[in-house]
Amino acid sequence: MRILVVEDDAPLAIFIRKGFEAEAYAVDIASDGEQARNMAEDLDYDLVLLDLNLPKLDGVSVLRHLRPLKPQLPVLVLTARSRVEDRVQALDAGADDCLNKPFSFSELSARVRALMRRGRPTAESVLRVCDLVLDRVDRRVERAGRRIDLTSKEFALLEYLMRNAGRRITRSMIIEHVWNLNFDTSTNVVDVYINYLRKKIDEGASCRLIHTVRGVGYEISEPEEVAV
Amino acid sequence: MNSAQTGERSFANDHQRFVSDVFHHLGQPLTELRCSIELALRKPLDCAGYREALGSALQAANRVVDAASFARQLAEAEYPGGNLRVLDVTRVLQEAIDDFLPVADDAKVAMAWRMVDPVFIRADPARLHEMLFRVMDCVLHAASSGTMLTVSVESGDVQASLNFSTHFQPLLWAEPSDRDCPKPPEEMHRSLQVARRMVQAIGGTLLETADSIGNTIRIRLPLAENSETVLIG
Repeated sequence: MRILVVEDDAPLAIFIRKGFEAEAYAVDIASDGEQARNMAEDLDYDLVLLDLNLPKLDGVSVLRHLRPLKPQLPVLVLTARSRVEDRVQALDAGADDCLNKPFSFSELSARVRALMRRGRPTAESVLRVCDLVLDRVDRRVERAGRRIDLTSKEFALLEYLMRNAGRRITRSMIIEHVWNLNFDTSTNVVDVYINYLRKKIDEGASCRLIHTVRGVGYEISEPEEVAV
Repeated sequence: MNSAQTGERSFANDHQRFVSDVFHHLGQPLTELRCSIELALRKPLDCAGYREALGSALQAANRVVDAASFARQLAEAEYPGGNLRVLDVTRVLQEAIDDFLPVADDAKVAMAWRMVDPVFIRADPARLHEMLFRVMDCVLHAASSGTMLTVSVESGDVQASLNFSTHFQPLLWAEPSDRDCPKPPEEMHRSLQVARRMVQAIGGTLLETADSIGNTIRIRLPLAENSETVLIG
């Protein structure tokens, strides 16, 4: 897996490179917008980490240039601009996700893994994980043929987890995507909803599907033996 | 002229207080960060010693990030948002209540609500959603097991009033909640400060009161002009 890190702040770029190299990624660095545009266009990357404030050509312009040429390339925008309007502009220009500075490396790493495995968002109307089935059109959920009633927020949360099945999802990713909020919060609302979902999805089932990833967040994935 | 001068003075005071608060919140963790690095470099340490020093530095750095993030949120809260429009505040509040029902249940806090609808105000939908999320989050975190939370919306001639009152009702539950320890009061206070600024940014006020029976947060927001609500109503 090869990542292009576009960051004009050299110490930060080197820190990110070291972190991802330790996780066995190959990492290239571009320090300005023009260099980033040329490298992303000429070489094959699995993901681009793109800063918005760049010399020569800003990040949004790089994104607008790249998107038509490489529609499948996941782009995660790193930005110190935190206003909702700035995020909207980046997402409208084709970013797949945004992360505000200052960020923690584990948050960045979790988001990169989620994007790497996802590619572009799935258009499937029916999502499956083991014997759990979620129909996005009929808004219906079944586990082993048993119908499960969910509130609209529980449904949105489960859908988000299932769209990212097998990936670690942080609490802030859930708050952003399910609650549509973008601020640092230590609210326990996510944990409470996950507990409710667990009761409805996993209790009485042959195996657990919703897992806690310590220090990171949650993941929905194939069976884990139920402790006896 | 006088009122313009008063406004300018109040803005300058607010700005000064803001800078002073930010400096205060950043100063302490930055000092801890610098000291822990200085101490680690003063003499050679063994592996465990370096690990401990780095752990302290990381904790202090996290507090710097929290403080910087709080300062950013406070500054942003002064901006009313780029998508100001006429909204039915009862609908947005109902969504927030629905979101927090499981949280209240988990905390063994009973919730009741009373609203006259619709009540139109002028706000940015995303900002209003965030502000009500913060208020509900703070109110529920502060409420202990066995509390009754009553949410109501009232509409006057020129203002809407959103009230969040908690009263302790010891007989509501036999057993206390086993929920995880709520977040620290300082964090709740910060979140409420941001919410207060968001309210002020759209011309409203947020007041907290406490008496022997319980706590109340009252938010007053200016109603949208009649001419603006005709099309929606």
